[in-house]
Amino acid sequence: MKLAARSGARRLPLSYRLLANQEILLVGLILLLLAAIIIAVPGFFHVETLFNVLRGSMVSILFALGVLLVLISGGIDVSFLAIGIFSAYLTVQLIPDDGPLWATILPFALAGAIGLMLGLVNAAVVLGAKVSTLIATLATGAIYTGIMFAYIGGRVIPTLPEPLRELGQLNLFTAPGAARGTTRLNILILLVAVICVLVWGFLTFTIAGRSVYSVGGDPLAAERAAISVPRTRTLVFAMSGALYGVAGMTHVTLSGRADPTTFSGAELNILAAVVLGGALITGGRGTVRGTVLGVLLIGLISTSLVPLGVPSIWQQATVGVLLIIGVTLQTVTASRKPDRSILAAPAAREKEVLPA
Amino acid sequence: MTTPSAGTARSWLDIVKLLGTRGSFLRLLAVSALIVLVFGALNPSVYLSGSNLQYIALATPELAILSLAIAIAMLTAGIDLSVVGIANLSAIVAAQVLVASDGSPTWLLLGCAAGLATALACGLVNGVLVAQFNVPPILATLGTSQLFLGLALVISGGTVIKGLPSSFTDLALVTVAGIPLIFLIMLLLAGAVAVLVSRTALGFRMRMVGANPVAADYSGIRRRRVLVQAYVISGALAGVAGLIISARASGANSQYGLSYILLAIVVAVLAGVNPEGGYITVFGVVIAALAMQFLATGLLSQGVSSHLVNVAQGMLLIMMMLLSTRIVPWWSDRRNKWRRQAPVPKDRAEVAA
Repeated sequence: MKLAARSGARRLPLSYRLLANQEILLVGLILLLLAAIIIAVPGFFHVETLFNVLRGSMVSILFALGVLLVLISGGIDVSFLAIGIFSAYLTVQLIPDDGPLWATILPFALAGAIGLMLGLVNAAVVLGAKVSTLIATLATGAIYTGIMFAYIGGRVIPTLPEPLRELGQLNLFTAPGAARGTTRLNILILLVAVICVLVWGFLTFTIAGRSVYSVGGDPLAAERAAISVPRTRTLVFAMSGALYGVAGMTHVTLSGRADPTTFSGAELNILAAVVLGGALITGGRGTVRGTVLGVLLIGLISTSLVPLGVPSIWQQATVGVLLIIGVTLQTVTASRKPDRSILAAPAAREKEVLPA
Repeated sequence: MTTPSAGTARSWLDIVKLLGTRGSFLRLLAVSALIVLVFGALNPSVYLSGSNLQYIALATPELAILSLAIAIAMLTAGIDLSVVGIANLSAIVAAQVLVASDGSPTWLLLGCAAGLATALACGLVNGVLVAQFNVPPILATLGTSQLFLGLALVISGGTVIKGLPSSFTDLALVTVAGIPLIFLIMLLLAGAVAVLVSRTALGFRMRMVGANPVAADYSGIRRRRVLVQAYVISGALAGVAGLIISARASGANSQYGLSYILLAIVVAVLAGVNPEGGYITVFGVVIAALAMQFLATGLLSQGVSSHLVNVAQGMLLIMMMLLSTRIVPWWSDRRNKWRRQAPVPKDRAEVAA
């Protein structure tokens, strides 16, 4: 939050301010990785690598945006993968088998709507049973997954309906591959980009979006400022549910099959990406930009370890170490920040605004 | 209570206190008994048979011990998401030693010691992150969970480590008077944790730190040291659970028990351990873990699909939560009104929740 950053009474050393800024750190890490790859493996950096990272990150970004919303509002959501695959799998079973390409709007809207409903169920449990979001979403996630397997089916659907198949083959860019064949970037990247801009706009420019930050920062203060905490939380769960539904549908479209067992147990990876992106787990802070950078960094790590000569089996441990360093830096630098002082002289505050 | 004849009365009171006088514990007992009674009545020949009880006694310990590990972190107002990571990493380190050995008792002890040493080291990493660097426990253990699971993956090469000596895998089969040894180990550990929490200075400090860290600081409790000790103990418990899992599965793998993370949290919360810190019920954890297994086997004995077992467990958690946060307060509110007492004022926590 800009205001809080500017009103420090003391001037912080530049190194601290750089370290405290998670996004600059992430960009630095990403550049470092790219530099290492370019030096170590000259032929590796190619448009294909970029497309691979983007393709691998599309679904994660959508999930991460939903998780980001919940984190900012001061909760933790672990039911997102269950909601995502539940919505997509049910949708694939419901929609007709053939139709024109433009009809693909229908499954995405339907999956979003189902996700929204499940998000509302989450909100009902959190607000109704007055439990922490972690425990509530643990329970609902297990319930959604169980219901999906028991009543909707647990079989893999190997072929999608016609319009979705076409959409999965529809590419925005095609370029010759680095080694052989062609490399492609699916048209759905546009959808991901549009959703990123929408979520960013919501969080930055709307009253409801600002309320999400204030509810996460201090629910009591938000209540005093006439913000309805339950309503804001319900909105956040509904929005993130819709995002999870669209994310699940995107995954199904890109992979060309509907497999109910996908994503099992990958919750922590997405949470890790959002936290790496600078969102505070205690609520009240987080940005779309940081989240996207966090997901891209993890995507880049997973594609670049092998060319750098690190066996791919090390990927999880590497992400773990990164995450530990990230959160430790977050807390260490946060504790060094001076408290916002109301009594600081205006002159000092003026100086704070000036660029270093 | 200092009359000469109060000896028996006091010991009786002590037992009641030991069981936890909180309503949540009594509710848990009632619900668990209800589960056993209902399924027992529906299908007594299968459900109450020796083999089913034997199965429950074999399946419960790993979950109960993992839940205890999480409960100790919760007692200090933290959480430990890395318990399964610690369990798998310890089991894999132990398996590396055991596979290379001839299975003699000395090697068996060495292997288990190697696993437990790994677990203690992992717990220390968690403790240092939480206590020394003030990282929120949920984040610190989220990161270390990835790290431990990642290391387990690397050491095991991504495959199941087979060929454990039979002297180790037999530990999961040995019974003492019809009760599996691992079930007795679980009871022993639970008793040890209960004594630690209720009867030792360290346990007292843990409870104080969890209940009110600021007050603990001002009372001269070295909070950082207490936190490190708590996470090390939590890690050690997770290590034992890992050894039990690999003995039962006769192999060690970095992918085992991933679903236990969530289930162990559920069991701890169901038991009435307060995630906000300061309250733990060791017997509650054991009973809640047993209740989960009784519910699962009960549904399965009725021919319900195994997927609906997860649904039932999730529903059970939500129901118990509703009971303790809504229905019971509403009921006691009404009772207070009858007694012409002022209702409890809304406090900050009410709004935050």
